[in-house]
Amino acid sequence: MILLLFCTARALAGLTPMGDPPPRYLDEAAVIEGIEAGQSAIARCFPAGSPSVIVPVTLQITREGTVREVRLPTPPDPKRDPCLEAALSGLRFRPHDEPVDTWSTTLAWVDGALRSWPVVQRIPRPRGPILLRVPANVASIVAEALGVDPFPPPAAPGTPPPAEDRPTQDDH
Amino acid sequence: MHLVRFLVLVVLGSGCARPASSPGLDPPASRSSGLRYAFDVRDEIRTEVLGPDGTPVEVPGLAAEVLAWEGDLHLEYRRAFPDDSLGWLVQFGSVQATVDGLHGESSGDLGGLSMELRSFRSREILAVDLLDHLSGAPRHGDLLVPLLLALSPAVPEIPVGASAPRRVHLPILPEVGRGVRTAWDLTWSRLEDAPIADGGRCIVFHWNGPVEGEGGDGGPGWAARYRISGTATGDTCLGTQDYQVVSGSIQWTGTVIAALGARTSDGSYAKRGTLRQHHDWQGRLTRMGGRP
Repeated sequence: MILLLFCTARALAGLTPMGDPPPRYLDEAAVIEGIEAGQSAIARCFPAGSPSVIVPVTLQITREGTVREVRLPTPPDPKRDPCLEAALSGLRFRPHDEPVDTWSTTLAWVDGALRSWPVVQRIPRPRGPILLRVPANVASIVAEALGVDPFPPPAAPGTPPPAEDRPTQDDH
Repeated sequence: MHLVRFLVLVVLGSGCARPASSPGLDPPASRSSGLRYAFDVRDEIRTEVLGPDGTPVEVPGLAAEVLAWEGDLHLEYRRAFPDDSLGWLVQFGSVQATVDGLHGESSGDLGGLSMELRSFRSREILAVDLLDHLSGAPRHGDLLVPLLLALSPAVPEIPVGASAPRRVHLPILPEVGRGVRTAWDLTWSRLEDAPIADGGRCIVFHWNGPVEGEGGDGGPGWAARYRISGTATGDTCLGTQDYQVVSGSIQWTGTVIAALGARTSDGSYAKRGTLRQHHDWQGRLTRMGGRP
Protein backbone atom coordinates (compact mmCIF):
# COMPACT_ATOMS: atom_id res chain seq x y z
CA MET A 1 0.00 0.00 0.00
CA ILE A 2 2.80 2.41 0.91
CA LEU A 3 4.58 1.54 -2.31
CA LEU A 4 1.37 2.18 -4.19
CA LEU A 5 0.96 5.61 -2.60
CA PHE A 6 4.60 6.41 -3.29
CA CYS A 7 4.24 5.44 -6.94
CA THR A 8 1.02 7.44 -7.26
CA ALA A 9 2.57 10.56 -5.81
CA ARG A 10 5.61 10.14 -8.00
CA ALA A 11 3.51 9.54 -11.08
CA LEU A 12 1.35 12.60 -10.56
CA ALA A 13 4.18 14.91 -9.58
CA GLY A 14 5.25 17.10 -12.46
CA LEU A 15 2.28 16.30 -14.67
CA THR A 16 0.63 19.34 -16.17
CA PRO A 17 -3.09 19.83 -15.68
CA MET A 18 -5.00 19.63 -18.94
CA GLY A 19 -5.96 22.98 -20.41
CA ASP A 20 -3.04 24.76 -18.85
CA PRO A 21 -1.38 26.59 -21.76
CA PRO A 22 2.38 26.48 -22.01
CA PRO A 23 3.97 29.85 -21.20
CA ARG A 24 5.05 30.67 -24.74
CA TYR A 25 3.11 33.91 -24.95
CA LEU A 26 2.34 36.69 -22.51
CA ASP A 27 -0.72 36.27 -20.37
CA GLU A 28 -2.48 38.64 -17.98
CA ALA A 29 -0.46 37.52 -14.97
CA ALA A 30 2.84 38.10 -16.77
CA VAL A 31 1.82 41.58 -17.86
CA ILE A 32 0.58 42.55 -14.40
CA GLU A 33 3.81 41.24 -12.90
CA GLY A 34 5.87 43.34 -15.30
CA ILE A 35 3.89 46.49 -14.54
CA GLU A 36 3.99 45.95 -10.81
CA ALA A 37 7.77 45.58 -10.91
CA GLY A 38 7.97 49.13 -12.23
CA GLN A 39 5.45 50.70 -9.85
CA SER A 40 7.95 52.87 -7.98
CA ALA A 41 9.17 54.51 -11.20
CA ILE A 42 5.59 55.05 -12.36
CA ALA A 43 4.57 56.51 -8.99
CA ARG A 44 7.31 59.16 -9.28
CA CYS A 45 5.40 60.60 -12.25
CA PHE A 46 2.63 61.72 -9.87
CA PRO A 47 4.19 64.37 -7.61
CA ALA A 48 2.94 64.87 -4.07
CA GLY A 49 -0.41 66.55 -4.10
CA SER A 50 -1.37 65.24 -7.52
CA PRO A 51 -5.12 64.87 -7.83
CA SER A 52 -6.60 61.43 -8.21
CA VAL A 53 -6.63 60.34 -11.81
CA ILE A 54 -6.83 57.19 -13.86
CA VAL A 55 -4.66 56.97 -16.95
CA PRO A 56 -5.39 54.32 -19.57
CA VAL A 57 -2.20 53.23 -21.29
CA THR A 58 -1.28 50.88 -24.11
CA LEU A 59 2.06 49.11 -24.36
CA GLN A 60 3.65 47.39 -27.30
CA ILE A 61 5.83 44.65 -25.85
CA THR A 62 8.55 43.11 -27.99
CA ARG A 63 9.47 39.44 -28.18
CA GLU A 64 12.41 40.13 -25.88
CA GLY A 65 10.10 41.63 -23.26
CA THR A 66 11.03 45.28 -23.71
CA VAL A 67 8.52 48.04 -24.39
CA ARG A 68 8.67 49.32 -27.95
CA GLU A 69 5.97 51.93 -27.79
CA VAL A 70 3.87 53.58 -25.11
CA ARG A 71 0.56 55.16 -25.96
CA LEU A 72 -0.84 57.65 -23.49
CA PRO A 73 -4.26 59.24 -23.49
CA THR A 74 -5.33 62.29 -25.37
CA PRO A 75 -5.25 65.15 -24.68
CA PRO A 76 -1.62 64.88 -23.62
CA ASP A 77 -0.39 66.06 -20.24
CA PRO A 78 2.94 67.76 -20.99
CA LYS A 79 4.06 67.68 -17.36
CA ARG A 80 3.30 64.06 -16.63
CA ASP A 81 3.55 62.27 -19.96
CA PRO A 82 7.34 62.40 -20.56
CA CYS A 83 7.90 60.88 -17.12
CA LEU A 84 5.26 58.20 -17.68
CA GLU A 85 6.62 57.39 -21.10
CA ALA A 86 10.10 56.92 -19.65
CA ALA A 87 8.85 54.83 -16.73
CA LEU A 88 6.65 52.61 -18.90
CA SER A 89 9.33 52.27 -21.56
CA GLY A 90 11.62 50.91 -18.88
CA LEU A 91 9.28 48.08 -17.90
CA ARG A 92 10.51 44.56 -18.52
CA PHE A 93 8.32 41.56 -19.24
CA ARG A 94 9.25 37.97 -19.75
CA PRO A 95 10.36 37.03 -23.27
CA HIS A 96 7.66 35.45 -25.42
CA ASP A 97 7.00 34.25 -28.96
CA GLU A 98 4.93 37.13 -30.39
CA PRO A 99 7.02 39.64 -32.37
CA VAL A 100 5.04 42.46 -30.77
CA ASP A 101 2.20 42.01 -28.31
CA THR A 102 0.00 44.98 -27.50
CA TRP A 103 -1.66 45.29 -24.11
CA SER A 104 -3.75 47.96 -22.47
CA THR A 105 -4.23 48.69 -18.82
CA THR A 106 -4.94 51.57 -16.50
CA LEU A 107 -2.73 53.42 -14.06
CA ALA A 108 -4.74 54.57 -11.07
CA TRP A 109 -3.41 57.34 -8.87
CA VAL A 110 -5.92 57.49 -6.05
CA ASP A 111 -5.63 59.46 -2.81
CA GLY A 112 -1.91 60.03 -3.20
CA ALA A 113 -0.94 56.46 -4.03
CA LEU A 114 -0.56 54.31 -7.13
CA ARG A 115 -3.09 51.50 -6.93
CA SER A 116 -2.56 48.17 -8.58
CA TRP A 117 -5.00 47.83 -11.45
CA PRO A 118 -5.98 44.20 -11.80
CA VAL A 119 -7.23 44.36 -15.36
CA VAL A 120 -4.97 44.14 -18.39
CA GLN A 121 -6.22 43.32 -21.87
CA ARG A 122 -4.48 42.12 -24.98
CA ILE A 123 -5.32 44.23 -28.02
CA PRO A 124 -6.16 41.46 -30.48
CA ARG A 125 -4.19 41.46 -33.70
CA PRO A 126 -6.32 41.96 -36.80
CA ARG A 127 -7.03 38.55 -38.24
CA GLY A 128 -9.19 37.12 -40.95
CA PRO A 129 -11.22 33.92 -41.00
CA ILE A 130 -9.35 30.68 -40.50
CA LEU A 131 -8.33 28.59 -43.50
CA LEU A 132 -9.35 31.23 -46.01
CA ARG A 133 -6.97 33.16 -48.17
CA VAL A 134 -8.20 36.22 -50.03
CA PRO A 135 -5.67 38.57 -51.62
CA ALA A 136 -5.72 42.02 -50.04
CA ASN A 137 -6.22 43.73 -53.38
CA VAL A 138 -9.58 42.06 -53.93
CA ALA A 139 -10.67 41.55 -50.32
CA SER A 140 -12.95 44.57 -50.34
CA ILE A 141 -14.57 43.45 -53.61
CA VAL A 142 -15.13 39.97 -52.24
CA ALA A 143 -16.50 41.44 -49.03
CA GLU A 144 -18.92 43.57 -51.00
CA ALA A 145 -20.02 40.58 -53.05
CA LEU A 146 -20.57 38.57 -49.89
CA GLY A 147 -22.32 41.42 -48.10
CA VAL A 148 -20.09 40.97 -45.07
CA ASP A 149 -16.47 41.88 -44.44
CA PRO A 150 -14.41 39.41 -42.45
CA PHE A 151 -11.06 40.46 -43.89
CA PRO A 152 -8.59 42.54 -41.89
CA PRO A 153 -7.15 45.61 -43.58
CA PRO A 154 -3.58 45.13 -44.71
CA ALA A 155 -1.19 46.69 -42.25
CA ALA A 156 2.54 46.84 -41.91
CA PRO A 157 3.91 45.02 -38.87
CA GLY A 158 3.86 47.26 -35.82
CA THR A 159 1.41 49.74 -37.27
CA PRO A 160 -0.39 51.47 -34.40
CA PRO A 161 -4.10 50.81 -34.08
CA PRO A 162 -6.51 53.30 -35.60
CA ALA A 163 -7.14 56.55 -33.77
CA GLU A 164 -10.42 55.38 -32.28
CA ASP A 165 -8.54 52.64 -30.42
CA ARG A 166 -6.19 55.08 -28.74
CA PRO A 167 -6.82 55.59 -25.05
CA THR A 168 -8.47 58.77 -23.88
CA GLN A 169 -8.02 60.60 -20.65
CA ASP A 170 -10.62 59.86 -18.03
CA ASP A 171 -10.16 61.90 -14.89
CA HIS A 172 -11.26 60.30 -11.69
CA MET B 1 -11.20 -1.40 -1.91
CA HIS B 2 -12.45 1.21 -4.35
CA LEU B 3 -9.62 3.49 -3.30
CA VAL B 4 -7.05 0.79 -4.02
CA ARG B 5 -8.60 0.14 -7.43
CA PHE B 6 -8.51 3.86 -8.18
CA LEU B 7 -4.88 4.14 -7.16
CA VAL B 8 -3.92 1.14 -9.27
CA LEU B 9 -5.59 2.73 -12.27
CA VAL B 10 -3.88 6.06 -11.65
CA VAL B 11 -0.49 4.41 -11.33
CA LEU B 12 -0.95 2.29 -14.43
CA GLY B 13 -1.99 5.36 -16.36
CA SER B 14 0.58 7.76 -15.06
CA GLY B 15 4.06 6.57 -14.52
CA CYS B 16 5.28 3.70 -12.36
CA ALA B 17 4.04 1.36 -15.01
CA ARG B 18 3.57 2.48 -18.57
CA PRO B 19 1.23 0.98 -21.09
CA ALA B 20 3.05 -0.99 -23.72
CA SER B 21 4.16 1.22 -26.56
CA SER B 22 6.59 1.03 -29.41
CA PRO B 23 10.14 1.88 -28.44
CA GLY B 24 11.01 5.43 -29.32
CA LEU B 25 7.55 6.81 -28.73
CA ASP B 26 8.39 7.69 -25.14
CA PRO B 27 9.40 11.29 -24.58
CA PRO B 28 13.11 11.99 -24.44
CA ALA B 29 14.56 12.13 -20.94
CA SER B 30 15.72 15.70 -21.30
CA ARG B 31 13.57 18.67 -22.19
CA SER B 32 16.54 20.40 -23.74
CA SER B 33 16.73 17.94 -26.60
CA GLY B 34 14.72 18.36 -29.74
CA LEU B 35 14.51 17.77 -33.43
CA ARG B 36 14.75 20.28 -36.23
CA TYR B 37 13.00 19.83 -39.54
CA ALA B 38 13.23 21.64 -42.84
CA PHE B 39 9.85 22.03 -44.49
CA ASP B 40 8.29 23.40 -47.61
CA VAL B 41 4.66 23.81 -48.51
CA ARG B 42 3.02 24.79 -51.75
CA ASP B 43 -0.68 25.58 -51.80
CA GLU B 44 -2.43 26.36 -55.06
CA ILE B 45 -5.71 28.02 -54.24
CA ARG B 46 -8.62 28.70 -56.56
CA THR B 47 -11.40 30.81 -55.14
CA GLU B 48 -15.04 31.14 -56.08
CA VAL B 49 -17.51 33.59 -54.61
CA LEU B 50 -21.16 32.60 -54.55
CA GLY B 51 -24.06 34.84 -53.73
CA PRO B 52 -26.71 33.99 -51.14
CA ASP B 53 -28.63 31.92 -53.71
CA GLY B 54 -25.51 30.01 -54.76
CA THR B 55 -25.02 31.90 -58.00
CA PRO B 56 -21.36 32.53 -58.88
CA VAL B 57 -20.31 36.14 -58.42
CA GLU B 58 -17.67 37.55 -60.70
CA VAL B 59 -14.85 39.23 -58.79
CA PRO B 60 -12.35 40.96 -61.09
CA GLY B 61 -8.79 40.18 -60.12
CA LEU B 62 -9.64 37.11 -58.09
CA ALA B 63 -7.30 34.64 -59.74
CA ALA B 64 -5.71 31.37 -58.67
CA GLU B 65 -2.83 31.94 -56.30
CA VAL B 66 0.12 29.84 -55.32
CA LEU B 67 1.22 30.32 -51.75
CA ALA B 68 4.49 28.82 -50.69
CA TRP B 69 6.40 28.55 -47.44
CA GLU B 70 9.90 27.34 -46.88
CA GLY B 71 11.63 27.18 -43.56
CA ASP B 72 12.46 25.14 -40.55
CA LEU B 73 10.74 24.19 -37.35
CA HIS B 74 11.78 22.80 -34.02
CA LEU B 75 9.98 19.93 -32.28
CA GLU B 76 10.63 19.41 -28.61
CA TYR B 77 9.01 17.40 -25.86
CA ARG B 78 7.90 19.73 -23.07
CA ARG B 79 5.49 18.08 -20.69
CA ALA B 80 3.22 15.19 -19.81
CA PHE B 81 -0.46 15.30 -18.90
CA PRO B 82 -2.36 13.14 -16.43
CA ASP B 83 -4.06 11.23 -19.28
CA ASP B 84 -0.60 10.06 -20.39
CA SER B 85 -0.60 12.38 -23.39
CA LEU B 86 2.45 14.47 -24.15
CA GLY B 87 2.89 18.12 -24.97
CA TRP B 88 5.30 18.92 -27.78
CA LEU B 89 6.47 22.41 -28.59
CA VAL B 90 6.44 23.15 -32.30
CA GLN B 91 8.26 26.38 -33.02
CA PHE B 92 8.93 27.90 -36.40
CA GLY B 93 12.47 29.03 -37.11
CA SER B 94 12.97 31.19 -40.14
CA VAL B 95 10.09 31.01 -42.59
CA GLN B 96 9.99 32.50 -46.06
CA ALA B 97 6.53 33.03 -47.45
CA THR B 98 5.79 33.87 -51.04
CA VAL B 99 2.77 34.34 -53.26
CA ASP B 100 3.23 33.24 -56.84
CA GLY B 101 6.96 33.45 -56.28
CA LEU B 102 6.84 36.99 -54.90
CA HIS B 103 7.66 37.93 -51.34
CA GLY B 104 5.48 40.49 -49.71
CA GLU B 105 1.77 40.53 -49.26
CA SER B 106 1.54 36.82 -48.59
CA SER B 107 1.54 36.59 -44.84
CA GLY B 108 2.83 37.89 -41.60
CA ASP B 109 6.10 36.51 -40.41
CA LEU B 110 5.69 33.13 -38.74
CA GLY B 111 9.31 33.02 -37.58
CA GLY B 112 9.59 32.39 -33.85
CA LEU B 113 5.90 31.67 -33.36
CA SER B 114 5.05 28.46 -31.60
CA MET B 115 2.20 26.07 -30.95
CA GLU B 116 1.79 23.06 -28.74
CA LEU B 117 0.98 19.68 -30.18
CA ARG B 118 -0.66 17.35 -27.67
CA SER B 119 -0.61 13.74 -28.66
CA PHE B 120 -0.73 10.27 -27.21
CA ARG B 121 2.43 8.20 -27.28
CA SER B 122 1.13 6.61 -30.47
CA ARG B 123 1.48 10.12 -31.98
CA GLU B 124 -2.27 10.36 -32.33
CA ILE B 125 -2.97 14.10 -32.26
CA LEU B 126 -5.38 15.25 -29.58
CA ALA B 127 -5.09 19.00 -29.73
CA VAL B 128 -3.09 21.84 -31.15
CA ASP B 129 -2.84 24.64 -28.64
CA LEU B 130 -1.82 28.30 -29.12
CA LEU B 131 -3.09 28.36 -32.70
CA ASP B 132 -4.75 31.69 -32.03
CA HIS B 133 -1.33 33.27 -32.47
CA LEU B 134 -0.86 31.83 -35.95
CA SER B 135 -4.23 31.50 -37.58
CA GLY B 136 -6.17 33.69 -39.99
CA ALA B 137 -4.96 36.38 -42.36
CA PRO B 138 -2.41 37.85 -42.52
CA ARG B 139 -0.33 35.13 -40.85
CA HIS B 140 -2.11 32.15 -42.38
CA GLY B 141 -0.25 29.74 -40.12
CA ASP B 142 -3.40 27.61 -40.02
CA LEU B 143 -2.79 26.73 -43.66
CA LEU B 144 0.39 24.95 -42.51
CA VAL B 145 -1.32 22.81 -39.89
CA PRO B 146 -1.57 19.68 -42.11
CA LEU B 147 2.22 19.48 -41.69
CA LEU B 148 1.52 18.30 -38.15
CA LEU B 149 0.21 15.03 -39.55
CA ALA B 150 3.61 14.47 -41.09
CA LEU B 151 5.29 15.50 -37.85
CA SER B 152 3.11 13.30 -35.67
CA PRO B 153 1.91 10.34 -37.76
CA ALA B 154 -0.12 7.80 -35.80
CA VAL B 155 1.15 4.82 -37.78
CA PRO B 156 -0.48 1.45 -37.15
CA GLU B 157 1.70 -1.43 -35.96
CA ILE B 158 1.64 -3.68 -39.03
CA PRO B 159 4.22 -5.86 -40.79
CA VAL B 160 5.86 -5.01 -44.10
CA GLY B 161 3.42 -5.53 -46.95
CA ALA B 162 0.32 -5.12 -44.82
CA SER B 163 -2.27 -2.34 -44.85
CA ALA B 164 -4.61 -1.14 -42.14
CA PRO B 165 -7.12 1.65 -41.72
CA ARG B 166 -6.56 4.25 -39.07
CA ARG B 167 -8.55 7.42 -38.73
CA VAL B 168 -6.63 10.42 -37.50
CA HIS B 169 -7.99 13.71 -36.30
CA LEU B 170 -6.55 17.13 -36.81
CA PRO B 171 -8.39 19.78 -34.83
CA ILE B 172 -7.77 23.37 -35.91
CA LEU B 173 -9.38 25.18 -33.01
CA PRO B 174 -7.67 28.49 -32.30
CA GLU B 175 -10.26 29.74 -29.84
CA VAL B 176 -13.44 28.66 -28.13
CA GLY B 177 -16.22 28.61 -30.74
CA ARG B 178 -13.82 29.20 -33.55
CA GLY B 179 -12.29 26.39 -35.53
CA VAL B 180 -12.60 23.29 -37.62
CA ARG B 181 -12.35 19.61 -36.71
CA THR B 182 -10.99 17.47 -39.49
CA ALA B 183 -10.98 13.70 -39.76
CA TRP B 184 -8.64 11.82 -42.06
CA ASP B 185 -9.85 8.27 -42.80
CA LEU B 186 -6.55 6.88 -43.90
CA THR B 187 -5.43 3.51 -45.11
CA TRP B 188 -1.84 2.91 -44.07
CA SER B 189 0.39 0.57 -46.03
CA ARG B 190 3.76 -0.47 -44.72
CA LEU B 191 6.40 -0.67 -47.43
CA GLU B 192 9.89 -2.19 -47.33
CA ASP B 193 12.28 -0.38 -44.99
CA ALA B 194 14.45 2.08 -46.87
CA PRO B 195 17.97 3.45 -46.43
CA ILE B 196 18.33 7.03 -45.17
CA ALA B 197 21.05 9.60 -45.56
CA ASP B 198 22.86 9.00 -42.27
CA GLY B 199 23.48 5.36 -43.13
CA GLY B 200 20.56 4.04 -41.11
CA ARG B 201 17.22 2.78 -42.30
CA CYS B 202 13.67 3.90 -41.90
CA ILE B 203 10.28 2.26 -41.63
CA VAL B 204 8.20 3.46 -44.55
CA PHE B 205 4.46 3.96 -44.70
CA HIS B 206 2.33 5.19 -47.54
CA TRP B 207 -1.14 6.37 -46.67
CA ASN B 208 -4.19 7.84 -48.35
CA GLY B 209 -7.87 8.44 -47.83
CA PRO B 210 -10.69 10.94 -47.67
CA VAL B 211 -10.66 14.05 -45.49
CA GLU B 212 -13.74 15.65 -43.98
CA GLY B 213 -14.17 18.60 -41.70
CA GLU B 214 -16.71 20.93 -40.16
CA GLY B 215 -16.58 24.02 -38.06
CA GLY B 216 -17.17 27.69 -37.78
CA ASP B 217 -15.52 31.03 -37.27
CA GLY B 218 -16.61 34.52 -36.50
CA GLY B 219 -15.61 38.03 -35.68
CA PRO B 220 -17.19 41.41 -35.13
CA GLY B 221 -20.28 41.47 -37.32
CA TRP B 222 -19.59 38.26 -39.25
CA ALA B 223 -19.79 34.53 -38.85
CA ALA B 224 -18.80 31.61 -41.04
CA ARG B 225 -19.76 27.96 -41.22
CA TYR B 226 -17.27 25.57 -42.72
CA ARG B 227 -17.34 22.32 -44.56
CA ILE B 228 -14.17 20.69 -45.81
CA SER B 229 -13.90 17.69 -48.07
CA GLY B 230 -11.11 16.21 -50.09
CA THR B 231 -8.58 13.44 -50.34
CA ALA B 232 -5.09 13.09 -48.98
CA THR B 233 -2.09 10.96 -49.63
CA GLY B 234 1.28 10.90 -47.96
CA ASP B 235 4.43 9.08 -46.98
CA THR B 236 6.08 8.66 -43.62
CA CYS B 237 9.60 7.52 -42.84
CA LEU B 238 10.43 6.64 -39.21
CA GLY B 239 13.99 5.90 -38.15
CA THR B 240 14.45 2.27 -37.19
CA GLN B 241 16.74 3.28 -34.32
CA ASP B 242 14.70 5.96 -32.59
CA TYR B 243 11.25 5.66 -34.22
CA GLN B 244 11.22 9.41 -34.77
CA VAL B 245 10.07 11.00 -38.02
CA VAL B 246 12.92 11.22 -40.51
CA SER B 247 10.80 12.63 -43.30
CA GLY B 248 7.20 12.95 -44.32
CA SER B 249 5.12 14.28 -47.14
CA ILE B 250 1.46 15.12 -47.60
CA GLN B 251 -0.65 16.06 -50.56
CA TRP B 252 -4.21 17.00 -49.97
CA THR B 253 -6.64 18.14 -52.57
CA GLY B 254 -9.93 19.47 -51.43
CA THR B 255 -12.35 22.27 -50.95
CA VAL B 256 -12.99 24.58 -48.05
CA ILE B 257 -16.54 25.90 -48.23
CA ALA B 258 -17.24 28.82 -45.96
CA ALA B 259 -20.80 30.07 -45.75
CA LEU B 260 -20.37 33.63 -44.62
CA GLY B 261 -23.03 35.62 -42.95
CA ALA B 262 -23.76 38.60 -40.82
CA ARG B 263 -24.06 38.15 -37.11
CA THR B 264 -27.05 40.15 -36.02
CA SER B 265 -27.45 41.97 -32.75
CA ASP B 266 -29.61 39.18 -31.31
CA GLY B 267 -26.84 36.66 -32.02
CA SER B 268 -28.53 35.02 -34.97
CA TYR B 269 -26.83 34.34 -38.27
CA ALA B 270 -27.98 35.59 -41.66
CA LYS B 271 -26.24 33.91 -44.58
CA ARG B 272 -24.98 36.35 -47.17
CA GLY B 273 -22.80 34.29 -49.47
CA THR B 274 -20.24 31.56 -49.82
CA LEU B 275 -16.53 31.50 -50.36
CA ARG B 276 -15.38 28.26 -51.93
CA GLN B 277 -11.65 27.63 -52.03
CA HIS B 278 -10.09 24.67 -53.75
CA HIS B 279 -6.66 23.69 -52.47
CA ASP B 280 -3.94 21.66 -54.09
CA TRP B 281 -1.71 21.45 -51.06
CA GLN B 282 1.65 19.75 -50.97
CA GLY B 283 3.99 19.74 -48.02
CA ARG B 284 7.02 17.84 -46.90
CA LEU B 285 9.46 17.90 -44.04
CA THR B 286 12.87 16.40 -43.49
CA ARG B 287 14.80 15.98 -40.26
CA MET B 288 17.83 18.24 -40.21
CA GLY B 289 19.67 16.79 -37.22
CA GLY B 290 19.58 16.32 -33.48
CA ARG B 291 18.60 13.23 -31.59
CA PRO B 292 15.85 12.98 -29.02
